[in-house]
Amino acid sequence: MTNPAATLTPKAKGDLHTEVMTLNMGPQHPSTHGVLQIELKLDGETVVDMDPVLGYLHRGKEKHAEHITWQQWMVMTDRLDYLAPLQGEFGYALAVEKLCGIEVPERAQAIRVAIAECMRLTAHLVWFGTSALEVGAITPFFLAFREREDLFDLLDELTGLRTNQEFIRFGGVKADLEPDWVRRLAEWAHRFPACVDEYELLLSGNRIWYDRARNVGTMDADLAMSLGMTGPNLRAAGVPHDLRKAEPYSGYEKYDFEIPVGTVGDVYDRYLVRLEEMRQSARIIWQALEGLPEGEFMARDYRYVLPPKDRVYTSMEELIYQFKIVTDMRPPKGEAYAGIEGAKGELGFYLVSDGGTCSYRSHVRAPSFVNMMAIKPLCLNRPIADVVAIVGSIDFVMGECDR
Amino acid sequence: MVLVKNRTLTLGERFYFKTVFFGLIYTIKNIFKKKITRCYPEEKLDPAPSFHGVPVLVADSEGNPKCVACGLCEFVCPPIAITIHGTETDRPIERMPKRFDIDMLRCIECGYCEEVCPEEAIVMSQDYELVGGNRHDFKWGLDQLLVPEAKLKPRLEYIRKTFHRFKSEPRDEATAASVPGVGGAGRTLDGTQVHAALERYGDNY
Repeated sequence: MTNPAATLTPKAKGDLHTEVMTLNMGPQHPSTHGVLQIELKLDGETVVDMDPVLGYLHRGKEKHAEHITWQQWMVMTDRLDYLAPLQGEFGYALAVEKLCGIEVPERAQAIRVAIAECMRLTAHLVWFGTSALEVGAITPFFLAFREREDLFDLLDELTGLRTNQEFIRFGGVKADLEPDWVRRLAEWAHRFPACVDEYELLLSGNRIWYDRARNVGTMDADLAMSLGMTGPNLRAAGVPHDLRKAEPYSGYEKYDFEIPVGTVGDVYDRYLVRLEEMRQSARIIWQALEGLPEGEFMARDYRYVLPPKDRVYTSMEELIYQFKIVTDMRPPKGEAYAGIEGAKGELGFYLVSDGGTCSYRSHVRAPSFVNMMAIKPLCLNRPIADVVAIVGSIDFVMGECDR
Repeated sequence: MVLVKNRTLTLGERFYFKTVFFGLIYTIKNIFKKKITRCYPEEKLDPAPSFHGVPVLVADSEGNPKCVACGLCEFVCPPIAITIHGTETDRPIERMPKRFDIDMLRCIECGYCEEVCPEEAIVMSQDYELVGGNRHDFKWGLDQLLVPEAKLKPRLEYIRKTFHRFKSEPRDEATAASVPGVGGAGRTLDGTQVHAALERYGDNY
């Protein structure tokens, strides 16, 4: 493969005085997925050096966890990856449940799987729409947001909020699924693969998209592994690693799905892998909904789960424990790590408890932060226009990077 | 594991023929499809009972707040939006809020206040339109927050159903129905009740 950058450097370099130019891309640039600033050193149009500047969206969430209760920090995990908020809650709830030793009923596990896969779809749909928009295709954006809107209407009806839903609780979920809602989501999940075919029809054979994406930002498996990448980016590089298969959590071992793996590892492969992942997610959703087990949606663990509300109104015991659990929930001393396969990669929560009402130390293993480290090796010696395509294909969210 | 296909462009695609013609046909087809957007200010949303609008306080039939100023919502509120100053009252509930302020600019509408409230006194309303000219307009006091109970019926029913949490345990219909009216009417520390609760939960507490 010839390096297109070589043809773009000034021909008369020997005669003409040229120097490297510093260009700040972002933090208000529309294609940097939030508030990322990239300091580019350009020789003509070629990137000779680049430096991502993080921290514009730093809110100190990990430190904040040391001052608010365990349940209160749940709303902060929503705001890490705000394109897939319930996955943050899911990972955090798994970590706390590991710490406390709460056993989650099977029905709650299946509900969590279904809504976590819905979140993967919404995150991938935003990625699909915006990254195609950034290289000049505007129609996919509207299509992706059409499907996302359908999904958000359903989630709004279930949780009460469109984004940043506060739906997962320690030991289960907030509310049970209604049969009518289950039927509508299953219908949607059956309809959705046809929508992905439609996206592919519009974009895969489009020469402009193909030329912008094929053999751009090629990453081999060694580079991806050495950078610690996870998620679709790693799988596009040819490594079939998926936490849902490697370390199944929340009953993922029961579902039948495939892991899409790329062959080249370029922007185009990452696009194909994510599209295939959307089809597989739809498969998981209807499997989870069709085999939805009967039973409770909340663990019957009265140390950490609030008592039934109607008894709180009338009985002294339950009233006392309502107050006690809200104000004084204390997991045992110890530490726990739980990771889930988020939309961007392995989303892990490492919590240390000293037996108090707040965590002693919390850390989020944010996939966006790790994946962002790939943009420098991928963008070097490429024309500046490729930076947009590569940054879009890596798919990070600054809320999760900066935390 | 499934490998994604490594495709190359066909001749028609390479010369933009397929792309341009298919794109045109696709656009024309979409003109005649049903619109998926909503003309928002004219067409309002019709939220489901599960919807989280702005939190409001429930007023009983006499227009007094059901709130007993226990401060649990103030404690649990993650963005610290609620401020309560309690006072004593001659009514059977004995305590009531002198001041109850919610800063609607801080509120994230997570619904934790409603979930922990032991009196069904604060609930999420269906109101999603927050408008104000300055920051002060968003600090709602008791006069703005109090909403008659009759208006919040769907949400109260949703709360009673959802926050019972355990399907296999029977719902306490009779006592739950006695809650509207005067708060704390059915609250007596009866020896049999304590015994029953201890039997239900055993050593877990």
